[in-house]
Amino acid sequence: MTSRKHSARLFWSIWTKVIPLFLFVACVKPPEEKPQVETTEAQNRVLILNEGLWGQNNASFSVIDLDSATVQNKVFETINGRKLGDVGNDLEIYGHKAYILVNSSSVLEILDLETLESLKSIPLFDGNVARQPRQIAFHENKAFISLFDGNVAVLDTASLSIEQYIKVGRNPEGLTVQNGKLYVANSGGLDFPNYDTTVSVISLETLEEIKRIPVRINPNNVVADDNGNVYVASRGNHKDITPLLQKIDSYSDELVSIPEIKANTLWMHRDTLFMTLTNANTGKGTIGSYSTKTDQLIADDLVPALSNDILYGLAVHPQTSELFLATTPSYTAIGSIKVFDQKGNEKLSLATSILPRDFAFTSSTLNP
Amino acid sequence: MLRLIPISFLTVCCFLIQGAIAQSQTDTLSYKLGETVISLGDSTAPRLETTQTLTTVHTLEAKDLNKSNAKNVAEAVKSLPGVTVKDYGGLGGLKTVSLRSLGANHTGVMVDGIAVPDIQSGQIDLGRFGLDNLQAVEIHNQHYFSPPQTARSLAYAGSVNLVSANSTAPTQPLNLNARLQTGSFGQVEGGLGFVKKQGKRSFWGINGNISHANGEYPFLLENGNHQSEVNRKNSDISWFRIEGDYGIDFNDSTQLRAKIYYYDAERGLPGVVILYNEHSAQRLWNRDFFGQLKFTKQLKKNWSLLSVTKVSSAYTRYVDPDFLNTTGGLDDRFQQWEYYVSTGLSKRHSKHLTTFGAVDYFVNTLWGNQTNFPQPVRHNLLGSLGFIGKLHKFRLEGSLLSNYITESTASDASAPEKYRLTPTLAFGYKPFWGKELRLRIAYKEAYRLPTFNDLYYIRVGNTNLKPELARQFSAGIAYAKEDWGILETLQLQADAFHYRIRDKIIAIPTQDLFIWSVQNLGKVVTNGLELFAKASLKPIKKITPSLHFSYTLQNALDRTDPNSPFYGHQISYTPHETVAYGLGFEGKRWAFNWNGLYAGFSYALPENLAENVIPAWGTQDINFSYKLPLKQGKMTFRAELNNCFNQQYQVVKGFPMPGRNWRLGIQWNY
Repeated sequence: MTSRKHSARLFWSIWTKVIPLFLFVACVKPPEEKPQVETTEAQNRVLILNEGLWGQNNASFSVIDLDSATVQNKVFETINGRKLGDVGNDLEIYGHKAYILVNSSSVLEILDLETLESLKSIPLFDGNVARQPRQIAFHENKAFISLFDGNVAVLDTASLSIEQYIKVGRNPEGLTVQNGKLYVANSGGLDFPNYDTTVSVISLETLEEIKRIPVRINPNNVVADDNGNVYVASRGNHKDITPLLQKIDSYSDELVSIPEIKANTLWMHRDTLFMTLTNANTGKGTIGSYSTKTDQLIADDLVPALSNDILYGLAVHPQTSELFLATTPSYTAIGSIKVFDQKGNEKLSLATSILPRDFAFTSSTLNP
Repeated sequence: MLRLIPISFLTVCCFLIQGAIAQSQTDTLSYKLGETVISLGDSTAPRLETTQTLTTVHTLEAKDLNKSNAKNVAEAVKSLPGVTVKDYGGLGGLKTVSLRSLGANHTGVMVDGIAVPDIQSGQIDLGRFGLDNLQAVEIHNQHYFSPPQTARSLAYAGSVNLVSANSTAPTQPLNLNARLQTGSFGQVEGGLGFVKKQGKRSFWGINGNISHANGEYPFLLENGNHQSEVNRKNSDISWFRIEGDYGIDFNDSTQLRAKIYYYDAERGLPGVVILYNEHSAQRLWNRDFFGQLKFTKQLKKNWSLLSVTKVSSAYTRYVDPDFLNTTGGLDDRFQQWEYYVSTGLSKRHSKHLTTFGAVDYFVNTLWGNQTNFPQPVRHNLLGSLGFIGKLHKFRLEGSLLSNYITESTASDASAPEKYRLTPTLAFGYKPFWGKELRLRIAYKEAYRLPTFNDLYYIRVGNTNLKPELARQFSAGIAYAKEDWGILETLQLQADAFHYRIRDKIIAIPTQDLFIWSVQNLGKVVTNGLELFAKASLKPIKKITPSLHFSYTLQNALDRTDPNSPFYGHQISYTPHETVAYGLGFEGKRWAFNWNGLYAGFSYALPENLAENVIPAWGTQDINFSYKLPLKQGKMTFRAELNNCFNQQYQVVKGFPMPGRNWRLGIQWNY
């Protein structure tokens, strides 16, 4: 009996000492978070919006200081003590503020451009249903925000409050201002395979839709040039109908015939339209440039040195004309910003966060 | 052949009806179960001794299930080594089981040794299977031989087998039980069950449960430096489940078992927690049904026969009214069917050699209400041959499984036909006569076929997918001992495994940025170690202590592309370490149990970065029960406290798990 008691004591001591030991001596330790450095108020900055992955609440905001060629990531979280949200969709600068649309969180974040502190966070909901903001454009102290629920919200950039909603087509995406009118690409993306095929034209005087221009199925990106034209890139149906670049004359609001180009993402830089193209033979993403004066493709592979990474965003520096590309090896991995000069030589490569997609340059806006 | 299936089911229904009508007949009190019938693979077999198999098998018997606070099979198997449960949280959240980091698609789920299919996603929600009507839950890693057995039971890299309580004849003429439970999150659940002997050689039983919960629970929402307590919303669930069993032993060597099962549920899907947008109005309806017949017969000259027929169906409806399309939301409906027949034979040539084989045929269909849904149909033909050889202290066993599948669709191209042959070989050695110490080593290849989602999902599916191959090596040592010092029973197992996955089916974006595609691209290499100990002690002052402990270490590393940023990284949702333990004390009328679980950190995404870490967590559960004998039967009162220290945690990123919660139950057994 005593031996049994002894064994019981032994058993108890094993239970209370050895097993907890197992719990604390976990052999494998997780990686540690790198501390984020506070941002300096450099003037020559590029703001980057990283989309993040749906459902991960990891949309983020990075700032590149071009003078020191360094990047600071997770800037919004560092400065504001909270996260940006889920799925970053658009970033633009207007006046002394930066505007960020967070799609799945359905929020418009407005930041002070110098301190990058959030001035206001505007939820975009219809009752409790997310309206899902997509893109933002500006005109005379008004911001226009395309909402996936088929509306464009009108925001006063002084009072930072939403004044009204304008009904447009299905699942509007890109929007741009030209000739006193707002052009909105109605994608109908959520009605797949029954996409929308129109661009809505809104009068900026009456704030009413005045026309719908029929275009190639699934229009997405729209940009304006300096000559009263609007360029529209349609994505097609991802099957037999290919992507297509189209041109709208804002005086007639009709399509103008141009060469057939399978463009995806667009960026207007002076008289040149930069775009991502998909090489029909290799399937590789390339960068093309197009003259808005002659309506001809200037080059179809500006950066031959570009790796096989996924090309997710494109911008051109307003002063230096350098190409800024957002690339990522995978949709679930850290992406980077690569800077190329006009000859296609890589000048800089900086890792940001998951899915970098959008750019805004402060130097031009702060020091006009 | 297919035409026969409905007929055999009609027969079963007739049996059931006959049983009901003939209920008034007097029952014979003494009832002798045919002793010779051992249809392995179900519960009539003596429960697997740890040291008898050449692969790692774990069994949770009803008494083990009672010791845990688990409400369903998924929660119950969490305590076993090598098991990772992907839990989307809450009462209605999806819970799938992955064995040794292979992923849920490689885990076969069987009821009484017969497969439960899911052709659409290939993942079975084990949160839907309750524990009330189970005799045992078995986890088989790699192969598990119990001839005669279906060919399909050899097709999985690992499986979870649920042994129905009523798959064996009851010992009493009539068993009745009534259950009532209530708990946190507005849980109310009631259940009724009975099993009755019918004449000398047959029995039948029915077991049903009905449950409702609003499912709302508070959790800590972290956002940068901010924390707030929020309620999980739209997580209500209502379900009922009914099972009917019928068994007849025509004579000592011939048995028939029939089972029908129906599960009906409606739930809200709270969805992933999205910052600044917590609203979800998504709903999910499920209706799962199966009916199975299992016939076993001992033939002359040591031959045994097994014959299985099964029909299964699953209906799902998913509604998202907030989806911003023109039809005002999503309303997706799917219906799948499977018709399954299998015949297996085994022969015991001598005490040294048993050989066995089986032929299985099953057909799967999937219907969906979306435009251009391809309505795929898959025919599967499986054949197996195997042997078990025993000589002296050695045991050698092996099998070959051939698998042929062919598919057709209503519209687009269908996947080409496939043929695969997969081997299994295992060797065991017992170094000491009369001692239950076994050394073992095993190799198995198992394919996970592409699911209909992988092949035909709108825009994403790829009909050219190959099956995903898992090559599994394992070596282990097992020891069992009874009546040793203070120990009544002792079971120890230590296993090392090396698993390699090739042609892993993963979704990747295509050149066209907006379209993802499913491809055979992944390679994963896993090295792991499992330790398991289970003991019950002899009573100390009329109190019987028991304990179990398990530890798993697994490094499951991506080996797909050396140039990828996550080459050599731990795959997502696979903790390196997990620890589970339990301690129980049982008196004459009362029992107290304490169970703990620790899961090390894991990653939500393939890249092993700090920002992708899902932190480690640990939970402690306790329960107390008291049995009160009554004139008629007995009453059991039970109180449970789960997650005692209110650990806030997530298993799947964005899906918070419940904090501290309780349950009270009362059960009457006759």
